[in-house]
Amino acid sequence: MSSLYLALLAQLATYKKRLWEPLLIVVAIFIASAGLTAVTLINTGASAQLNQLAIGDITVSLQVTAKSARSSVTRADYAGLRRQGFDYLVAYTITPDGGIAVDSLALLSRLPAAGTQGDSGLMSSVARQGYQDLNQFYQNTVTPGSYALAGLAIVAELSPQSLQQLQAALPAHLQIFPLTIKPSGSNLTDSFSLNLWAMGALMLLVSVFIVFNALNLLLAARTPLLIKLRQLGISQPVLLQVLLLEMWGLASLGSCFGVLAGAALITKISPALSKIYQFLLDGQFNHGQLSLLTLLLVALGLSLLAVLAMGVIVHSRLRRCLANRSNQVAAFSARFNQRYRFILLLIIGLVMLAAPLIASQLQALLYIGVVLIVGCATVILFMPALLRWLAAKISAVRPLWHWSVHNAVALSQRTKLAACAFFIALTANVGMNVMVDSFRGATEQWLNQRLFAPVYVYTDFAGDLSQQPDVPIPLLARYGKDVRIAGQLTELRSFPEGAQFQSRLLLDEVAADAWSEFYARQGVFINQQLANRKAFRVGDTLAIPGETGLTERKIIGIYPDYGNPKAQVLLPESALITNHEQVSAYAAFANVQQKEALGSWLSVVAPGSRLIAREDLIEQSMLVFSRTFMTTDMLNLVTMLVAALSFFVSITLLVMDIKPQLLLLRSVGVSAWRIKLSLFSQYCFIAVSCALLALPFALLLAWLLVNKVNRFAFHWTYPLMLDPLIILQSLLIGLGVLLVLMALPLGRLEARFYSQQGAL
Amino acid sequence: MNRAGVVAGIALSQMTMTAMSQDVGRQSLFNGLKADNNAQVSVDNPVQLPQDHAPHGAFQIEWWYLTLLLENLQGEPFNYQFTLFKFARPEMQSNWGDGYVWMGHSSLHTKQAHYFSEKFAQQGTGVAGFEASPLQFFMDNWQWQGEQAEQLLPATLTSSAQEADINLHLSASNPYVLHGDQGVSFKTADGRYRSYYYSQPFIEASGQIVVNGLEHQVKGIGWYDHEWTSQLADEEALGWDWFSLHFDDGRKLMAFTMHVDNGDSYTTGTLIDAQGKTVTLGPDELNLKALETRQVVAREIPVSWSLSIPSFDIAITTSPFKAEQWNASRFAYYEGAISFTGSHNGKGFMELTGY
Repeated sequence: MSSLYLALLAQLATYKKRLWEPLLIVVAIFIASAGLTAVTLINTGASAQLNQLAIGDITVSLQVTAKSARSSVTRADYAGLRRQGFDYLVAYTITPDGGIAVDSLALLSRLPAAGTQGDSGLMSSVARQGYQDLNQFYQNTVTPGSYALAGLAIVAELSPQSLQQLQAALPAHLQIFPLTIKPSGSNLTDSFSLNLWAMGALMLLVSVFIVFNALNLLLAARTPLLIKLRQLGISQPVLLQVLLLEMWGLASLGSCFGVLAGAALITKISPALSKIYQFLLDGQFNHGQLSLLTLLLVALGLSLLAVLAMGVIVHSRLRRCLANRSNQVAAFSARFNQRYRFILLLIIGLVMLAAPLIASQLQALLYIGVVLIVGCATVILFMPALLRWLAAKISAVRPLWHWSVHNAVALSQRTKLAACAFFIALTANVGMNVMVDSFRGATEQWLNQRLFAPVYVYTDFAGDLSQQPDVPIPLLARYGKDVRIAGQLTELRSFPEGAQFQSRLLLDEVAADAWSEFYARQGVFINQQLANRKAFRVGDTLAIPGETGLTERKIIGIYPDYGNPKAQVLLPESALITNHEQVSAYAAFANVQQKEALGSWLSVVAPGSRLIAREDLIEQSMLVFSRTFMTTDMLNLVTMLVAALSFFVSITLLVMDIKPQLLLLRSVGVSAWRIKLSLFSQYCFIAVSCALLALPFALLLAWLLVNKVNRFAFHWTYPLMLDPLIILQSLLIGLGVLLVLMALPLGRLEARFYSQQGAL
Repeated sequence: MNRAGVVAGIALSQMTMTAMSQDVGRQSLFNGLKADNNAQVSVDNPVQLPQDHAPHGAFQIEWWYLTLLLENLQGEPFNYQFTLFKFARPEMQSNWGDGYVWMGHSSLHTKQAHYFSEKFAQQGTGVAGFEASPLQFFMDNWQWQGEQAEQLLPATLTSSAQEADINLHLSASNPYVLHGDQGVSFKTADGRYRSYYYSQPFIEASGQIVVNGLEHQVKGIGWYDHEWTSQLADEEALGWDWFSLHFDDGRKLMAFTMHVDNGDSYTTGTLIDAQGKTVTLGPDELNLKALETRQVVAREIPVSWSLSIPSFDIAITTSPFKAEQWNASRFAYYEGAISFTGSHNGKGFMELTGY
């Protein structure tokens, strides 16, 4: 024990002179933990909210449910509890198709009446969120006896005392339990959550690389001390324990501060996240689902597990350190010969061919994982070859350049882990940027085409403003109604009739003579979301519920409907004018004077209405668009920072390793500045090679994100736009971050020379 | 009588209420349901008691309505309204419920505050309904519990209104009063709009009202109505102004004006003497006129009225207990206590719908 203590003190004593390495480890783990904490909080915050029963402003987190699968909540239980005064209980069940049926009347009692009229608001709110009424579900042979209630949702915020009272009143077979409902059509939420977890996994992968690099650095720096301690009689197991203890201390420090920083970051950006979720998923971001203490304990536990797992690696490295004084970089092994490279090329070919077979979002994400792994293998196998090929082109007449390039080949062996991390980060960054840029371009074009009027009116007015007798200028109403088509909750929306509007509907696919069929009410346009969800094609027939039952309509076109998570069908205006539930907006072809007159009229007839110019609407929409991608941008940046830091750690290690060579160069009269330049050029050489290899994989990733992940997550796609400027910009930002960080250890080089020369 | 129930019943048809009336700026409250799709109100089948205390499933709309003018031991007023409505919604009939929606309103006014609660539930689920023996109406823990089979009174009423809990004993010594012709009450001159309608205007109430944890012993007088019909559900029925008055000399008066689109308003009433004998008053005998309006929740509400019955030398003017007696329910309406002076003094309740 005393030897362990003494060895630990000896190790810690090195901090006085060599704080740099442990600090790097702490910072690396700090960044990785902060990123992972942010991803975890975003996911739990989003999914917890989205998995709750939510009607209007009411969200439900608790329910009364059966204690075991052998019993169930009965209608008598429901009535008994409500008649005791627990009128905040609302019966619900999960339908066989995964939908939710609720006692809408009980919910009606819980909703504030102010500002509402009738129950139409509630009913449409219930319908919009895909909930049925229990009366609709319990029909024909389906009875509460044959198909039990799932539970009684607690639609109120209860004090601990009220919860106790409810608990005391419950029959023996019932319990209070957290409510975790997955609403029908929740594949959207699942998909979004899966996407975020995939990004978290990407960050985890990158952080693993950085921790490996940090470990290398620590062991390299400690080698002389470890040898001395071993010579003094400290056993190898004790040294291992000391190293692991120290690693755990550093990991705990880094991870705890990382958790705190990640949590603080999420708290800071919660309002922005809420807007994103509201826009993208009709949901809310609910910060505070996980307690900080829980996160800290998890971080400490994971640090301990990771350190124990790394014990195996540390053990073998320690043996090598103690057995061999030399820490020189070995020449790149030729073990990856032509055969391996051929196999890798074959695998790349197979992976490419498999892309069209992807049939679900999970498959798409797994495929992305495979692409990244294949990419890393490419980096490991082809980068040294690429560098060697380039090195062969550099003449020995320029000795410093010759040495630089050949040394870069040697360095590529030591930097392979860091290069892989950088490769992944760069691929993700370029791929995401190309995807987002394509989406932005498609959205902007779509908005410009669809918003055809100079002014739009948004209002809560209960009636139809366009039918008011004193309306100062004609208003074009966008009528709406929500129905179920083929079991899918679908928006019916009106599209204005008139040849001048035809060009305003951007169509991916269209039938011949589509518009005449549309005006004749024989055909309808559907959005990509409905087409992709239900595998509808142009020419198929839809059964649309109407006043007199189901009406069959031919699908005559499929249009993009970006940002809308819901399925939608466009009908001629005349089909909805007398048969609509709401008017979502009005278009007004108004000049400046008419706009003023319209504004004055609205302030009297429909106070609170918003009159928005087309340009402002486009600007606001694009602003929301930018906000939407803030999360992914942030995660991308963190990933890039982690990768760059990993590379930075490797470079620090390399500077230590090639110290004798650098001293030799200095002694033969090469200036410190030229040595620095030579070293920096080597780093650039490796980084640019890595970026060149990353580019094709990044473009493949962008294609996958647009045509596969997006297709299965949100049910819409858009054209992939390859803007060279965006690609170059993404590459340069990645390289810039890396090179700035890598330039830092070079500054320390001069001081190192002088200290070495002084020692000589 | 509580016509707000009719409003709610029709509006529950989920139709958007958009049509504007051409008459006196009132909004059309009826949309979608027709008046002829259910049982008929007819003098051939007059009101029969006690059987007719029970719900009438064949009719579209029904309500049980109680207004109480109570005071605590210190003489502070506690004016209370309790109403249960029942609507036939055959499209909701299922294995979950039997297609009748119940709505409950509980409204308590003190000098300083208004407590109001609204409930919805479906018959057949066990949450709301009626038991005959002993007579019982219930919605959740709100309960009208009779003491005898089929008999409405004496009874115990247990209810709540937000932070107020109400527990009252109700009784009456005089007989029930049938309005119109044997309980068939005509709302328009042509008889197109009509309902079954009887009252118990001689209610005596006592009990406890707990407001925010403070218990008040209360007692006072009250008025009970029961009404059912399928002949009020029409988009042309716009609303009404309705009064139940307790004269200091022991007499009672029910009076209302019904407003319909494309037709004349119709005023009628029933004057009841202290022993319960009734005289039906026609439009020529009863005059109702709004005297003063106030802005209540952005609406012009006539809060003060003149009422005269020349043949009985009655000429009175009403004043509201408070101007703000608006029930901000899902189907909002004005409902509150009033007092009156003039040829006679007394107090009562006023209900105004369609504003």
